[in-house]
Amino acid sequence: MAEDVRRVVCALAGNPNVGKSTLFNSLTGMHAHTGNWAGKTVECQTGEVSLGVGKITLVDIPGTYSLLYRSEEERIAGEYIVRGGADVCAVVCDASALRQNLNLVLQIIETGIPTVVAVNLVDEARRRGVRLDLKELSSLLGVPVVATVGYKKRTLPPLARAISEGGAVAKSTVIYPEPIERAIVSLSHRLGFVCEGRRRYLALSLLLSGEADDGAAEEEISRLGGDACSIIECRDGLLGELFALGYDEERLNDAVASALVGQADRIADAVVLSDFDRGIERTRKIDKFLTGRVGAYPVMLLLLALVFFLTLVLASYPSELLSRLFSYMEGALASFLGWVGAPEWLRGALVEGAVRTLGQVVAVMLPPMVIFFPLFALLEDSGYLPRIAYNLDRPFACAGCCGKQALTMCMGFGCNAVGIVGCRIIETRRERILAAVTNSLVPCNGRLPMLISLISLFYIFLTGSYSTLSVALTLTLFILVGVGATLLSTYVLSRTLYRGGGSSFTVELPPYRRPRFLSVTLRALRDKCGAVLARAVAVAAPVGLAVWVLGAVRVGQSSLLVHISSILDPVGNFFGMDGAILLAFLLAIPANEIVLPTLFVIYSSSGGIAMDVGLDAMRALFSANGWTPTVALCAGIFALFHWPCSTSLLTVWRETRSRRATLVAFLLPTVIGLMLCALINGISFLIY
Amino acid sequence: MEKKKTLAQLEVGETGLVIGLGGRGGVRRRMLDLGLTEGTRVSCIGRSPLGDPSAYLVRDKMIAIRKEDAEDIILKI
Repeated sequence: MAEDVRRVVCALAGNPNVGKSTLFNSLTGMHAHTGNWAGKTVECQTGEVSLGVGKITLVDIPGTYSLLYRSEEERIAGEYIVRGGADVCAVVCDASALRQNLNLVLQIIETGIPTVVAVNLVDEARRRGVRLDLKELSSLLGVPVVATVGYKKRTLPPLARAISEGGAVAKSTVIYPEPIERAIVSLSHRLGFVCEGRRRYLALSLLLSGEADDGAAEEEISRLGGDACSIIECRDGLLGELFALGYDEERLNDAVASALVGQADRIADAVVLSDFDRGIERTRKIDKFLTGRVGAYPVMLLLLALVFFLTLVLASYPSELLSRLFSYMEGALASFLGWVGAPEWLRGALVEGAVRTLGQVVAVMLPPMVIFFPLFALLEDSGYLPRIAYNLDRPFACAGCCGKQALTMCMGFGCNAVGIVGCRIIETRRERILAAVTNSLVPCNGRLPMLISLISLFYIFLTGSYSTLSVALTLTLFILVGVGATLLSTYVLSRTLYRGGGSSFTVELPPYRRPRFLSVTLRALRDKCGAVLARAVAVAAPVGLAVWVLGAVRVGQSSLLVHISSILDPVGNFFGMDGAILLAFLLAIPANEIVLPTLFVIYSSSGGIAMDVGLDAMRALFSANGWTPTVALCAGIFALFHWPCSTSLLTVWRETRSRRATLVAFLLPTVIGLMLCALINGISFLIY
Repeated sequence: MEKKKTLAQLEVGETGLVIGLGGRGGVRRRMLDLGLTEGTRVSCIGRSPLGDPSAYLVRDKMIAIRKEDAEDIILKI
């Protein structure tokens, strides 16, 4: 079939934090999540760009500093470009940091792939006093160069046009020291099986890949149709000659890196007309306070408190509204089922089971999330988040990990599964696993409302009333305990199960910028709302159904639910709680939000999840079931530390592919929680 | 007069020229990728509240590097 529509596959490459994901979103109209810290995009996202003349399939590959890779995302990026997955590669550069970004541009041009360079965020650079001669850049590099502003769609057609025209293959301008050049040329002569443009880069990467990588190198050569053995042998001969000249593996790497950087510098000298960077000056002034000795930690704590405060206060109104909406829908569904003559049990299971649980989860979980995530996204967009990693690297380094764990922990306050995925920003596998398995030690948004209720109940049972201030302070204490537990268990794990390997931390501190309020908020809302609703439907409804069935099936005098909870009673009592509480936590594994509603049902021993779980209703019912301050406190501690929800556990498994890590992620918070509860129970036994 | 220092010894506000890289493997490559090659100008622009890591200005970018890694980079002041 004749191809009427021209289709170009284009890899979108670039250093971390150059606005690549934003550019991708604007080009494709799709919404990959974007961030203002290094290493945010970790899997390849693809999107389509339609043009008058053809179509571009855009592949957003992970941000990378270099093709000579080291971390997981750099491996993905390097392989995608080198293995010829794309017809064209568009390299995105930050106009304010062209000097550094050119390093990757030169490497990509060297691979022999047709290239287009997008100099992004030109408006921001101009504001900072940076002037660039893009015509000169294009002629020095030998490939098309276009200026873009990622979030402004109207600046993008020239880039799309350049991509669809196929970019250009340029001759490499990088010149390595004479002996290395000679070795590259000799080895290239043996690589006749690949097209001419790609020989130089293949030769170079063969010379640089140590003997440890020979397996992969042989495979790659065979795949390309070459004779792996003889080529590796030839390479070893050439390496021998280089080593005789005083090179070793490290000096070879350095020489190559220096040549690349030197050439990048020469080009930047010719192209960057004015380097005066007001943005950095302003950023340094702000940083004097935000990362200074005096200001850093108070500001961090205040911001954290502010985010929580806004989340909880602003969430209560939409929560109530959603609650009402769902009870209205319940009524409507019930009367509809009555009208079509559905049997009583079906009505109960659907309305009181599935729909009611769904309503509870959505009403309790959705509002805090849609407030927390935009706030977090705004902080992210402003450039503040990497400063958290910078400020907290020291304590986390002492625990055996790095400051980026502090960032993933902060993401965990929103949703632990999101935090665990976020661990991809951590460079070494050992530290990535440490951060992933300890993530559930801080309370996510799904657990915060439950924590607040339980703390309020603790004060009610202790003194008869509660004040907002004491609840807020206790909640803060709980969160700090969670952070402490994160540090402590990281410390223990890094000295037992996950020893050695060293730790590494470098993070880019991007210049502060005014967050793009509207677009960031809208995107966070749209992305998170969708995800949460999907999860609620997939998970909450079936659980609600199961709880309803357990509550409805009667064995002897009482329901199955009551039977199971009385079996669990002795265990629960030992840990300062009762069987019903344990059962509620077990049933809520798919979604932590339904712990209290489920508990309400177990106590009231009727089918279906309670309509409205207000504090007064809970107080009456729970105290009738023997709650004391100790029970409330233990339940609170257990809400903070217990098995992670199934989504989090699955995410740990997906991210680490390690059974041990998944098991540790399950056991760690559970054991900590049970130990603390037993301790509190013991102490209160001694006091009373 | 010319003085030699490691990057870790660079005072806040001071600027130097990279003349040598120690370190090994991944960390070394990371430093190279960040642009810390021989002949690069680096200035120290601040320390984190607990004194480590520090922030450096390298090729128009602010980068945080730990003391441990900065000790392997030799500068000429």
